[in-house]
Amino acid sequence: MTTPSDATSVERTEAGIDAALRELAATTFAEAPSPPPFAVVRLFAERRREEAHQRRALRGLALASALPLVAVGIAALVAPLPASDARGFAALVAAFGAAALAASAGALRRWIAAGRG
Amino acid sequence: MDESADAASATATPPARTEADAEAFYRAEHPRLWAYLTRACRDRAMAEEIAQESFVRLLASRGATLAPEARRGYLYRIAENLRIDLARRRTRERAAPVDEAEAIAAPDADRADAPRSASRTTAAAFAALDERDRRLVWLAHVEEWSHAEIGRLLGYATASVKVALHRARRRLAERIEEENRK
Repeated sequence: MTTPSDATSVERTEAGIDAALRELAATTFAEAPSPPPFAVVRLFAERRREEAHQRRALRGLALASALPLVAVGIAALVAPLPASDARGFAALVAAFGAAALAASAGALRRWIAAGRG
Repeated sequence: MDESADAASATATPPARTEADAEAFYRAEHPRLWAYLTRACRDRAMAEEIAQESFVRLLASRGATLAPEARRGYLYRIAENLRIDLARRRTRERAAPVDEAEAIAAPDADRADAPRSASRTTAAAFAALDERDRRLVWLAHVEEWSHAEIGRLLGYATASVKVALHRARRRLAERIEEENRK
């Protein structure tokens, strides 16, 4: 329990808190290590920015690679060809699909690798 | 300072876009951020790591072109997020052995060879506060941030900052008193 004399003492101490904190701050600032050269931090930041840019580009590439497959699939659903043309169309879709999948899989793999790195 | 005044001061000051401005900001703010983190985390190595990473992230982002006051808030927000991430990771890993954990708890307060100065008493009392109190007191009384700025950084309402800060000061006074009795 806090007694009246304790309370007075605490108030007196509190009055000196600002001075104590100023002293603590001065001591702490004096102990601060010299920061790494700005050029080094700037270099890291530029590298980080380039990596982010690369990740965005790869993500765009992955999406763009998948677009032909999506477009052909939508076209097949919207306007199905007569049965006589269907075999040729299916071959075309398969060829397109394989190319797009290969490209998007490659881009996705690079994108994931860049994210991990 | 209220929200509108903050916004006005942020827009009134021209944004620093030159390399010299960025470097001056870095030189001025790095030691201050390190000091804040050291006192908040009670871990110098962690403070150094977070301070450097915060500047790297700031410079790599659009926050680097903000006006100085807003940029400082942005920098401390990055540092706070990093500090929380690192603290969580450390808790998960539980890598620090007991002795190290004790050293971290009071980096310069209880070294037996150091003389018991007023500064050391304050350091010990400050280290004994809980983390929220340490951050509040440091930002308000050393960095001289407004209650609104502190609230934005730590995610509290301005009125709550005022009350919490008053209590934190009170607790610090009590801790100093206890340290003086030792």
